[in-house]
Amino acid sequence: MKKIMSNILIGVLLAMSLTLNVFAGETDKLPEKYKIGCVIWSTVDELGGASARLLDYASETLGCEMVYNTNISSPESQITATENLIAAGCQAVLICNYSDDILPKITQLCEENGVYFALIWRSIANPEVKEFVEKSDYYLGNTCEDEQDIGYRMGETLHNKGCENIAVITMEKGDATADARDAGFNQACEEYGMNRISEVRNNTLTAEETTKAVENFLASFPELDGIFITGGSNTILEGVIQALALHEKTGEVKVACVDFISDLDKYIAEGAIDAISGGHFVDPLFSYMLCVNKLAETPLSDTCETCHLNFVNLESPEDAVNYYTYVEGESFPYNEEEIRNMVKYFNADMTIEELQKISEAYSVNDVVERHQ
Amino acid sequence: MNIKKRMRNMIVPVAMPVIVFLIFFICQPKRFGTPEGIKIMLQQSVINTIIGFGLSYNLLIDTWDFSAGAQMVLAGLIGAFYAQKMGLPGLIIITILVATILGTITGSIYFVFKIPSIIVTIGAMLIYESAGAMYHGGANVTIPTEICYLGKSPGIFVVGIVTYLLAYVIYHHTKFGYSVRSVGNGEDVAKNIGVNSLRVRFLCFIIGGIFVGIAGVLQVSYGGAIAPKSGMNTMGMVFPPFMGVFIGQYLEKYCDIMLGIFLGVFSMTMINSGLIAMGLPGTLQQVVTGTFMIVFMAISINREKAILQK
Amino acid sequence: MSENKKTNAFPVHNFKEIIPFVSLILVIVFFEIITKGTLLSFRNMKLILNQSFVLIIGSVSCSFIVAQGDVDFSMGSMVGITAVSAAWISHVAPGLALPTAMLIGLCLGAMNGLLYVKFRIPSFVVTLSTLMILRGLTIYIATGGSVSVPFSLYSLDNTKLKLFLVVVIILIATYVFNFTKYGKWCKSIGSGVTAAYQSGVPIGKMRVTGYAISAMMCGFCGFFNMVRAGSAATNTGSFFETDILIALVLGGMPLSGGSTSKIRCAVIGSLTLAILVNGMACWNIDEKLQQGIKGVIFLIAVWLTFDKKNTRLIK
Repeated sequence: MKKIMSNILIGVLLAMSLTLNVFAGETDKLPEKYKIGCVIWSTVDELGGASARLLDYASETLGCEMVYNTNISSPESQITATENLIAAGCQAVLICNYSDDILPKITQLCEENGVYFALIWRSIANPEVKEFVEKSDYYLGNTCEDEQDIGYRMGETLHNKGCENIAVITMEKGDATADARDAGFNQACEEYGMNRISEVRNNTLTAEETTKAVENFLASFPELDGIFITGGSNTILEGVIQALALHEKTGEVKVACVDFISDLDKYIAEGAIDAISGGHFVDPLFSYMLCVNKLAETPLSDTCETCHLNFVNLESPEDAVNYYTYVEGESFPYNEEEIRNMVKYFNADMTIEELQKISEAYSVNDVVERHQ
Repeated sequence: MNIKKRMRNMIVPVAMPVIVFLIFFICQPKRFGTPEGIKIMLQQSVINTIIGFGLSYNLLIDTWDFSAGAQMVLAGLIGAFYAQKMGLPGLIIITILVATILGTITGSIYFVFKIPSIIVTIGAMLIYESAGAMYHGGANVTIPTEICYLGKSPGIFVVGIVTYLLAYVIYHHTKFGYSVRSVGNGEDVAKNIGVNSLRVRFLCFIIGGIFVGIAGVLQVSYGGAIAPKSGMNTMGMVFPPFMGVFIGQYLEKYCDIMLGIFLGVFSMTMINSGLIAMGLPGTLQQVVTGTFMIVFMAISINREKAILQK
Repeated sequence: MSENKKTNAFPVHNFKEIIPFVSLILVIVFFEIITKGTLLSFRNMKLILNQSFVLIIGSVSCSFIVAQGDVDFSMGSMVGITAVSAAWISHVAPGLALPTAMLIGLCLGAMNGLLYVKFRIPSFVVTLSTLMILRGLTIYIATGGSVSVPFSLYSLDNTKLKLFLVVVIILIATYVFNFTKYGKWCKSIGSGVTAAYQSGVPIGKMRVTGYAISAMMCGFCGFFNMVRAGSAATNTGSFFETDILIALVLGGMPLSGGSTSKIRCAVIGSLTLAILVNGMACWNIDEKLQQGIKGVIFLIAVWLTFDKKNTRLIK
């Protein structure tokens, strides 16, 4: 008898706590479960994976849903991917577009279906396309980094470390990000009189092929003293480091790379990396916020807006450890409260200027100060 | 006559790599063909040669294994993951084991459902790639530098030579090798003398898996890390070994086929390195490799025999 | 294949033939239920037509070479190079873009065929090599990586026009395939080269024209891909050949060619593939898993449709 009573008591308590939870839950979730799509190259490499985790976390916090589509091997398949996300019922789509040229079609597609879209990691360089896209009511804006500048700064760093003959590992022409970084790097080469002796262009590089490429550089160009990598994700940087280690050239051939990988603290301490910038996995979060605010009918702006993000530079192993502890990895750069505060629905003080300020302030120190 | 034949058997197989070498050496004597450069090119040929060994049994009997690349990536991912805990033995055992199991799975699908191998391997490739992307959330796996010594000389050469001997013995001195050769010479005839060609293909997939596993161990050791590939991107990994095998098949008249595969892969590696040394844009490398293949086949094909072939 | 054997296998044969239909219907019903009716909404059907358009045309035109028992691996790069060429031409003369694309395809396809026939290089080696060569050239001619298309061409990307074109092309292909000497010869080569040769089929010409047709229509697909994306890029059309292969197989087309080849296999297969891709995206399952599911369905479809009884050697 006693047992039954206690069971009932437990049951009642459980039911009460559940209902309480539901009540409590209602206040910190958006009124509707918005579905947001994301066209991205991959959700498994370091950069894409970290971004997807952050977006999933934000969506869980706000009560939204993320859908990813990574079937984007060609421009027409990016259109297909966007179409299918719209068909899946997404109310807004985040797109990492292959090039400017597909944006007019994406704009038409979104207008026809009444779906909002925003760009991630991209800005529109072609003025004709820019005008066409920005006219649309469904284009909410973009988040971008100064890619050309980071390429230039990488070149500058290599020059300061005494490099003269540099090989470049990059993507096939046509990838807007890689091309911009490469252009910036070329500018630095011209200004400082460095030679660009060879290059490898491949969109599907992984460690083994990269190791091979670097070995070929070493064999053919004994004068090689620097390597610039426009995108080190997906084990490309590991491949470069491995090749230099196999031929005992670590430290002798300087390495500059954009995009972070894991174990950077170790590599920096070993002297295997001389310049590295990245941390831009938070980029999609700001475009995401543009969409969420619009969908929740609390738009931050009536026109399209751009959020700028700075690259994170890691100079010492301690920087890297801080980065892994506070920014990427177990914890997220913005906690639940901060994420909720980016939405006007929860935080009436939120404005587009405020959001832009948050994005521009992003750095390791910024995150450490907020979360320590 | 006999001496002449023996001379020819020695000269023809070596002719191609030597010609390729000389072309680049004459164009770029300073950048191409340094002793260090030759060592690097030999080193780079080992992995594709071993995949070629694995695929050769299959290709000899007209079976196209498009799943080999996906097998290698998945096995390498799992092997590298265990290497972090168990060191080199973990890497070797787990990678080869997983690759062999995957080969067995591919073979079983073929054997049990009796569908054409080209379809089985494309289906299997899609599934293995997907499994690789799902394994540990699709994370890249890096192995400690201390256990990478199979990826550089002399380790890589020792493995290469041992694997060559293995491939040689299997092909020339086992019943399986005999069956492969007889099916390759004519499947109808082989069937009439009692060779079960379905079973031979099944075994080919398993043996292929073992070699792919060995290649996977070297691949991980050589690159120091491995990342999953999806969206049919592993399919491109089998093309260079395929081409090596085609060349090996042609050279079979003059020398052992496995040696021929190595010579083929080595020639192609030299072309790649040579083009880099000449400072040609990376985009033209595919063009040159493809043209080389067509020209080679056009010169070497036995026209009379091939009149009605597919 | 003796006449006797054929009659014996007739009921099985019949059963096998309807399986692609059944599986198409099953796929539709399954996704219709799982997506709660989104799949067959008017809007989504338009999307599916848009997505399967080039696939249907590619696989239908590829059927002529597949019926002969050959495969064309170079289709992806054919689409790429014709699309980029068409994009450049469209800057000068938009009206000439489509004819140029098809003409370039025709020439390159004939070259494939000639290498195969005149130099006796196995067809898969030829097309694999041209796959690499043409992709390299595509990258080379698309100097900046991506070539835009004038806005005036966007109007060609409309569903009515595509529906019209796809119906016309299927009708023409079915007619040629079933009721002309050309179609019959294609199938007879697939059934047995030696027998066809002895009965006077011009094998060489058939092979060259087969590859030329396939590549010419790749030019057509390339043009419409370019219009669809508003641009042509270095990777336009990548993996097109594998998609075609998968579509043909899903539709029950025997890759060994011969008398059981049907144009409808290509159409059904392409639709099945497009609905699978679209349905899985709507279903909202982990995109990493989608590819694996595609592989499993692919294998099951082949297992059900592949004619084991009438195939002596399963290679």
